[in-house]
Amino acid sequence: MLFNSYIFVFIFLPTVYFIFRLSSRFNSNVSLGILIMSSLIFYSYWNIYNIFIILSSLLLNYIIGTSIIKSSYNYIRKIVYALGILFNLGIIFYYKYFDFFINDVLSFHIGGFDTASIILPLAISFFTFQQITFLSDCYRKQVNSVPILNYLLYITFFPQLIAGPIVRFNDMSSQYSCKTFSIYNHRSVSCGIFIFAVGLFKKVVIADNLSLLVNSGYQSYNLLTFIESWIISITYSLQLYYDFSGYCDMAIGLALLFNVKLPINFNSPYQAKNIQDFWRRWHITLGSFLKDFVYIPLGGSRGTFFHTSRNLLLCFLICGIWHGAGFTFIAWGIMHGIGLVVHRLWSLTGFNIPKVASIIITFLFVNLSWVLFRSENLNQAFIILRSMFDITEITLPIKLIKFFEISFFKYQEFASTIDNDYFILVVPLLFVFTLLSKNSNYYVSNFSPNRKNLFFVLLLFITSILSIGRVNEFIYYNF
Amino acid sequence: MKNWNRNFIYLVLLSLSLIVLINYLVNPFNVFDHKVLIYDGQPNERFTKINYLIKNNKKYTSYILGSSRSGILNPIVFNTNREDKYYNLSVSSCTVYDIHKMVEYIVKNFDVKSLIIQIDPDIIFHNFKHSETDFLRLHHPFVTDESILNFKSKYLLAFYPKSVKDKILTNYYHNGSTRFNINNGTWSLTEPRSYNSPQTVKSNQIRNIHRKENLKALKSLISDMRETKINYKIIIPPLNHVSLTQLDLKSYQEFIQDLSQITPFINFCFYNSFTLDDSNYYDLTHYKDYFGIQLEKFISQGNSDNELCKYVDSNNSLSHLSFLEFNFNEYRK
Repeated sequence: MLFNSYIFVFIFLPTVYFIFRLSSRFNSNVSLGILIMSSLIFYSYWNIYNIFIILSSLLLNYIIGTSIIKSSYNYIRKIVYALGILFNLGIIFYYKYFDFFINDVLSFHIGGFDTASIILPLAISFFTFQQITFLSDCYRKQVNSVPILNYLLYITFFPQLIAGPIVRFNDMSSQYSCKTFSIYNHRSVSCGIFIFAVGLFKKVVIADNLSLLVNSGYQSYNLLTFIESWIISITYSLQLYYDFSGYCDMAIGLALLFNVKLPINFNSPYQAKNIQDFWRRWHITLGSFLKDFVYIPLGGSRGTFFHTSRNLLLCFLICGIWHGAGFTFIAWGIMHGIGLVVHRLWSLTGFNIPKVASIIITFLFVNLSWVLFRSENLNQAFIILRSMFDITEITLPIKLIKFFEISFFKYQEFASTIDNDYFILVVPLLFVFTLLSKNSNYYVSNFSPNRKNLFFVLLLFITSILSIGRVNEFIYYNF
Repeated sequence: MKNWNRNFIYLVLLSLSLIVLINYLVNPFNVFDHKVLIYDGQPNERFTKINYLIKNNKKYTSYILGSSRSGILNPIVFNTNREDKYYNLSVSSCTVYDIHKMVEYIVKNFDVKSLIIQIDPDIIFHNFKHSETDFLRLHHPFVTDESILNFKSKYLLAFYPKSVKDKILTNYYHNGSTRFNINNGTWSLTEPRSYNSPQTVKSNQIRNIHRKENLKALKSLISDMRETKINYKIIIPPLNHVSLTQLDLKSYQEFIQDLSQITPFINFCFYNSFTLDDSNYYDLTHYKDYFGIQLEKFISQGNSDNELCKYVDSNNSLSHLSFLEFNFNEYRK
């Protein structure tokens, strides 16, 4: 079930919320139980069989986690912890990478077994990473007791189950155990409605409309000219931004409806002044996870420049692989790793670039890397990247030709199902808005429930509902 | 604070109820089964025609599929044998995807003997699957295996002010310019229209940006029809000379080559006395209905070539491509 679907907005969410409010009259454990059951229904809506995978993962990790806590022998704790990590990584490897590894990397065919038949269960990367943080917290003695309901809801809580944010057990468990958890909180609900409406608008009105132009452009990738390829790549950067930002806002808003605070996962990343800053703003909780579980165990930045560079490259190679089993994601990860190494080198020179220039340079780098991220294969990515640097034939869209009355430029149609002229105006405006506007979390913390905001939120919500007809999955649901 | 939350819920319910009520009553695409407003706007033919055929398919044995161009063809013209009972299942901006989906559905659910399929190169070159928010062109939920509730919810909870306004004005002034006849699937103009081709033509050339998808869907379509032993004729319609000028020749030749390797077809789409004469057209895109009589004649005559059409298959495709090259270059000079 998608957040941006009629069934979620009009049936699932109101029903769950109503039952949750009713249950709060009894006992907070009943409320927790209601949310766990609802989350499992939410998850199994895609594929009922996936519920067995998540239930197995819950059962085994709970046993492993509690065994680690209970054991007083360090070596046993270490062995159980290692087994737990291997188990979780094994699940991800089997479902996400086995097919790619066997067929594309080793070019090996297993007789009688079709690796392509392994279907990736939804959200497996996210909930497995969350299980790893749970086991790690148990091992590091940051978790001393694991109430079963708190643990089940920590993993399955539907607002963040599918695409994060990746949260820590203690952060969530303390909220579930809080006496005020199931008590109706007016402010929390108002803020939840506000940020959910903002997120829904970002997703269905902005990102999904941009996707039309992006899909059309990527379909005719070998016909794109210089300007067209830049328009398409920037539009995809904006689509991805509003898609993921919309999801994060919706997740935060939904959690607030149930009196739960999720961490900020997205903080205006296109306003980053360098690539390191970008990764402190884009998918913040994934960045923290990779830092804690890959970068620091490899040695972090404690060694020589060479060691730090190696660690960065390895960390982002894993980040790329995490996003998908394919050479485009590997290339994308390596590109970001190299970007971070170059940034460290640049920092050593002590030379400062003006703020506006640094933001633009960072965006251009990220924009180029998203071409790899979006392309179906390396060949497609190279063709688009080549056209982005091919200035031998510059063709202008018809709107600009008419506007400047330039007749010697040749107009080439590429996105005929879309009103190109409209996008020529919208994309630059949206781009400027994205670079200048404050993050939606700022507006949540300063939200005041007055009449002006009531009509603003109503407008966003109704506009979004009227655009839901085309149901598009969130891009991050694929990872 | 408490009031804010409550007011928000009330206002959402009120606004949505109003929108649902307007969409239902105005019914701009005729997807709801009522006639509060008598005069139709442009209906969603993909829905209305399949919906009609679900109840009336026993009356027909054969179907015409294609775009709004072929939507003007009177199916009676093609009823040359006693068993033939044609229905015009043409829909606006019909793509190969649309044809494939509808053929799959009618073959599975109705008794189908013959099909006449028109493929419009200019439409399929830049469209494959129409947008899900293109409410004029959404398929019947039975065709796409969607739930009817979800399908109708889309129409109730959508915002299409222009279509709503157009239908209200049409009913207010009683002046719709087009009439749709659900009983034979055709459309017609309420008043005769004279057409003169424009003096200037847009310089952009329509290229086949969906070549791969079109080819795959065509192969699958033809294979389905051969498996089910349905008689079929594929035609490429006579595009007006202005539309021909906008067609990218290379893309067009690639398309002809691709299609000829899959199945034989009749090609009307080149410069000739019919396509050069504006009096044969209602407007830039639509030929007049008497083209149907000519088409029927060519179909019944078999595979003979003449000045207005060419029979193309895998054996003569190369010579046809040379002919097109010569024809287009000659008239585009």
